[in-house]
Amino acid sequence: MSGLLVARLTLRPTAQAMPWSPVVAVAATGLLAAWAAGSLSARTTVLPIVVAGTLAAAATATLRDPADELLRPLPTSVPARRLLRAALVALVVVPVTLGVARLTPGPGAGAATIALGLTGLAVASWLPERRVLVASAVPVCWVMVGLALQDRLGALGDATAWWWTHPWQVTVAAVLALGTAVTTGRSR
Amino acid sequence: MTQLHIAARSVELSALTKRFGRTTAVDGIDLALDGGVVGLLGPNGAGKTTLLRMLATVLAPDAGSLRLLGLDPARPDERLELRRRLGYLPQAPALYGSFTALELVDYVAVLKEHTDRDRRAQECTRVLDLVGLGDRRNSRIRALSGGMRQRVALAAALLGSPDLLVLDEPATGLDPEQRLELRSLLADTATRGTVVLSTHNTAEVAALCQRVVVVTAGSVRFEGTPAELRGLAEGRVWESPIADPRATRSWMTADGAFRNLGDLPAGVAPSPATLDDGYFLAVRSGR
Repeated sequence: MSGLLVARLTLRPTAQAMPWSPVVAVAATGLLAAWAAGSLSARTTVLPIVVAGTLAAAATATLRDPADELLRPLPTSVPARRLLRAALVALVVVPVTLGVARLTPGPGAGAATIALGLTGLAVASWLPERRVLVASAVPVCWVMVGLALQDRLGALGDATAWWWTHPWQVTVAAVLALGTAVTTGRSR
Repeated sequence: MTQLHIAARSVELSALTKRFGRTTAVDGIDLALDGGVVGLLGPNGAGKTTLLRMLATVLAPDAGSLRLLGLDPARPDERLELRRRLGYLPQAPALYGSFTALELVDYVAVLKEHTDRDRRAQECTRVLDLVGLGDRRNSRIRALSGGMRQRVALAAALLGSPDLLVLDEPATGLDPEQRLELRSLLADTATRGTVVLSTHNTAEVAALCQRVVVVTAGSVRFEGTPAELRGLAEGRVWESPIADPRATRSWMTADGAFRNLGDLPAGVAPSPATLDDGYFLAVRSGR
């Protein structure tokens, strides 16, 4: 109960403390590009994928908390603070993903966005605070590798595109990695 | 009740060790502290910050044991209880520039589970007044000077009158008047709990600390009172017009004479020792 009350009381300051610019810029550009593609009836698979990767990366970057060292030895844990940030950024990511899927002719990338975003979050939970921005690069890097190698190296090449071909399995793996990090105290 | 009171003031470290890759930052430290203001002295890279971060539950040790206020921070339930009774000021803390001083302290107060709005408002006002920022509470942090930002972070550390206050170079960026105010504030805080601070300033230690711990290369070289640290150098300091080659260390003073430290040569009159002299000897004892 106390945790929920703390979460409610910290909603506004957490939102105020988060670096929104990258997410807003990617979201706005993604929506604009999707609208343009839809207007031109240009069927594209790449655009939702690029939006998914960059949006997941920008969302992961919002976990970066410059005041972490000051806040870390407080009763409200790092995972709790990050969870609130992730929930807040999801309020932007989910509608944007749905919007891009609706505006773009062709398959959407909603599940891939969730898989990539949670992968970024899971990697961040295993890294020290100062390396969170490294974790934010993971979704984009994985997308690039997947686009380059899928269908080229057999099973290994296919694995590089799991975020696209098996997004829910990736999501489950990311949630497990996240849970393990929290329970083993990596993000204490 | 008496037992609880004693436990609430204790810091107990046993063979505490922390490594970063191949570097051993804290190397098997044993230490027991019980109340008052304790100063950590040591050169840059001695392991002071790593030690303080472990005391603040920010870092987990790689080996050894740590009990703070009678609690084991390795156990999640005890760590949570400990964090409710702990205040921590990191070295050069980064803050949110877009927050006002009051917003930041209020945010920290909520994260410290001060959920009652009225009591929280009173507590935030109290700590901001304590650090002399009552009249700047509504100023944006980005508009404050470095010293004022340091005091905002100190105010956050003081929330809830912690039983254990861990401060990493708290006087950094403060002017002389603010330093005096800080000394008074910490001396008052120490009457109710334990304050552990790191500093490079021996004058700060002499004025404020009941105990001093000298750390070098991750190990404790000295632990005792400031007078005992100064006592290390009694009879081992002398002055001369040029640097004495028999000294283990010599340096020029403001009046142009040389101050020498080491085994007093025969026939030479010793000079009164200072805390700096004792510190130099303690540091060199490990080399």
